[in-house]
Amino acid sequence: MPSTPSIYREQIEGSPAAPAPAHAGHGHDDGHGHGPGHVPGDLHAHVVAPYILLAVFGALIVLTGLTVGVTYFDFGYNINLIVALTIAVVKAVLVVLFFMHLKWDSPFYSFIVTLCLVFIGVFIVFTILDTGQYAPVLTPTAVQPG
Amino acid sequence: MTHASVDSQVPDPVLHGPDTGHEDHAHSPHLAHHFDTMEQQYDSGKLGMWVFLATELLMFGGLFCAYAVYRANHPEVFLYAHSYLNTMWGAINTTVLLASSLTMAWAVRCSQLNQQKALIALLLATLVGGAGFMCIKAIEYNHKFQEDLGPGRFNQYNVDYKGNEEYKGMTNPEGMTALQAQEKAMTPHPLPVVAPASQPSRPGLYFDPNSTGADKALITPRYSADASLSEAQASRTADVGGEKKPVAEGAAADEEHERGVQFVDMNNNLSRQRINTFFGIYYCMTGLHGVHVIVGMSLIFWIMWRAATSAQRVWMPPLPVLAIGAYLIFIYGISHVAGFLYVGIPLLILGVLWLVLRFVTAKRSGPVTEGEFSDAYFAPVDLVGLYWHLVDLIWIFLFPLLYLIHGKVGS
Repeated sequence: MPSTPSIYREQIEGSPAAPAPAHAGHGHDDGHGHGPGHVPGDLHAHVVAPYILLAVFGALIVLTGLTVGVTYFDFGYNINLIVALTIAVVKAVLVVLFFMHLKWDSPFYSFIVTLCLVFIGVFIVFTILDTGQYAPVLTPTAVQPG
Repeated sequence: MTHASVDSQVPDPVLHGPDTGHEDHAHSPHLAHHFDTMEQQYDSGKLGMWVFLATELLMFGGLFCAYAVYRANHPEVFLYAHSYLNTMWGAINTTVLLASSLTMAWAVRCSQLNQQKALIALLLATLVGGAGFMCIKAIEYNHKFQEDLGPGRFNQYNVDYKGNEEYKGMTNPEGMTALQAQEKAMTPHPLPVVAPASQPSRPGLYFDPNSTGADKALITPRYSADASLSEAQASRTADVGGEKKPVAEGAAADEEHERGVQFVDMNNNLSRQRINTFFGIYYCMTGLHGVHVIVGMSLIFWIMWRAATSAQRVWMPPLPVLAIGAYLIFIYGISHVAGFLYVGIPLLILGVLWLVLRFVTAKRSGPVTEGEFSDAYFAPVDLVGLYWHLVDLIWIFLFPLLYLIHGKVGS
């Protein structure tokens, strides 16, 4: 870009005098990125709209009611467990995406969390696979008086 | 010192004079020396927080692993033991925590939009939510303690529980820790010789998805101490089975039995130990989560202090003392353990006196200092919010896994 010097000039003149107005324009939270007034390097974070917060909260409450209500129906031990965990995962995704802003944040944070969950999954699955490989009790000689 | 990055805040030597490294007037007072811009500082902080949250998830992952392995191997234990937990309290606590998550997320929004009063109010609301959660937790724990379902030896299913003397003599090796086995080996009475019987089924609690109750007598312990003890165990099993059979089959079947679980030998020490292990997992998971709630509340209070104006700071310092005092008195109210009262009442009095003192000595004149946070600097609010949401996130999984176990095993 040929205009690099003018960008520098604009920042240096603009930043000490008026750092705040760059954000004020984003007060009505529509999730759109850097407006024309945004200065590169200046702090700019997405503000979540109230209706999103309330809708997510409502969904979480409804899902909580659902997960309690579903226990009154007997779909079988495994199905009930799967249903409960599915609802929990949906709730967790809602919290992470909206309350924790991951929807608008750098995908790298999502990558960290996903990787972490994958490793927890590996940890749990391999441990469960392994538990079937042993005798259920100590051999009797192990606890006999010497 | 050089600014290596070609970034927005590179000072122009013509405008700013020689670069002194940190005297740059363009910098926000909140910008630390080692960052070039506020955005870089914010992103670094957020990255650090997410990595920390990942380690938190890994720490809880160990407990979830213990839960998963134990439940995979002993579903009947979970079906039986979870009936001691109160689903209503669990659901209320979930709602309370979700509401406090909402107020926290909204507080972050307020800090981004310079809504200082709303920020303080929402952080207070979040603290109230956390306190409500801890109060309900206290009610639940107290209820379990009164039913002798505490952790470790305070649990009626523990071998070392005070009322369990009669079972100690017939401890199955699987129900013993190595230390217990060693202690037993050193006692004058030799440990009964234990030999696997040919019966392939496991001893202890049994579940049978198709059970009508008629097959209960068929199940015998796999491991028996010796011939006489084996007979004793067998008769005990039959007795218990005989007693329970009408309960399980009749119209008055109680809840834990109508869910398809058959409990064959509840007097078997091994069965008792397994239920005790469920409560061990329960206390570890909810306890560690409760510690996180307390840490989160402390962080939120710290953030509230930093966000407060000098006028608001007048009433803030005594709040934790008042809250802890009130909490201890609340615990006394449900448990009637006088010790909580002896600590709680002095704390409450101290807090009230301190509060009065704060108002009396508060400066009425002079400049009012503003809170620290603004649209240009709200990272601490945001990061503490992330922590609080993580606490909520863990509970979202704990609630169905501990309180909502249902269905017929094996179906």
